Amino acid sequence: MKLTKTQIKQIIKEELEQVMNEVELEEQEALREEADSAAKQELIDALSQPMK
Amino acid sequence: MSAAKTAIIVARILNQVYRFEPNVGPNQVKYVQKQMATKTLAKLLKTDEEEKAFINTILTMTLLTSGAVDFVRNPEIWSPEKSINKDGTKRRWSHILSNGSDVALSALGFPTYELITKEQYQLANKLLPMIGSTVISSSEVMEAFTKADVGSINKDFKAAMTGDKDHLGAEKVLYRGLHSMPASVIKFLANPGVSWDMSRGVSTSYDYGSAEGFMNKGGNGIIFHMKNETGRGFTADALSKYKPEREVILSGKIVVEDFMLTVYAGEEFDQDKGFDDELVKIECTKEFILMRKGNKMIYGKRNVDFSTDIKPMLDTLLSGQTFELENKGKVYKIKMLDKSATLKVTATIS
Repeated sequence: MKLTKTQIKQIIKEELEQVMNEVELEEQEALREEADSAAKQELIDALSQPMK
Repeated sequence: MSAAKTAIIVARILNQVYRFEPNVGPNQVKYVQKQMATKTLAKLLKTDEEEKAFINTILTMTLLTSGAVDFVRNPEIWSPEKSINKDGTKRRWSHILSNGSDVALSALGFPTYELITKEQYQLANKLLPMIGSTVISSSEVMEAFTKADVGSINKDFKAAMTGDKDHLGAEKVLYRGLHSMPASVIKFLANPGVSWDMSRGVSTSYDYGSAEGFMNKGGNGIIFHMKNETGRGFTADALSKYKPEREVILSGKIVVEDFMLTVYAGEEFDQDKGFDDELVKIECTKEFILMRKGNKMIYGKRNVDFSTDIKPMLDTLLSGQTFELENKGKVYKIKMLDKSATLKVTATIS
């Protein structure tokens, strides 16, 4: 199967977009995990104090 | 039975002594309780090991409930200069012990006039996870009480213990309030299934009012309703210097089952990004969502899917961003009012 230059460009563009989306999702997930971890630590610290 | 378990059972019975109101004049109550406490300890603590375990249990409970909690959590930061009272005097055990604990420790020969040491904070740090996760049943407490014939020291006390026999074990529901919490913590908790390790020991109460009062001290309040099916915890209660708080020390893994969040939001006008004076009240659990503006319901849905219908909304609102909602052709743009959240969390402890 022969591909035209335009088709190759399109395939590369689509692949690149997919990779970029995956990277973005991973970054968002990492940020979310970081935020959850910070919130969890704040919660543990607050619970560690007595109710006074 | 281990000395540690005996110590906790004895503490439960001693707690009952200080909850008991003897039929004497007000001036004699402390004297009668002291007599009862001394006799109770003599009947129940049979070995040096049991006495030592009991003393360490009371010291640990006291350091968490009325000592310097930061030293309990991290004894390495302790120093003689920091171990002081508000008036600058050096902190001694007698300054932080409840009357009942002071009487009990003195009866066992513990020098309550001495300064609190770093080693004692280290010991408390080590013992708290164990004390807070101990499971003691009502029947175990009653068995020890009957076997040692503690009831013979006061007939009314015996009757009170028997009448209260179903409540001598740990309470099945415990409460904990928090206030002035960041929205990120509310967001983290409004999430069924999340869990965290609280094995270091946490102060809770079997009295809803105490936890609620603490929650109401500031905005963004949280109240935990913790199901304690396994009966864990150390009942500090009347042995704590803060007796009215009905305190229970608890440790274990906490898992969120459900929540009820109430939050207020302003509706944004497109034209000038101003906000309507009348606030939008949002109430939601993992299964329903309800929004009202004044008496008018602007949105309501039951049996919703948490991950698609509720979580994205909460993530947006609790991050301080504007959330857009369309209902019956009208678009609402709402933004959470700072510190306006109240979260009731139902959780299990195991």
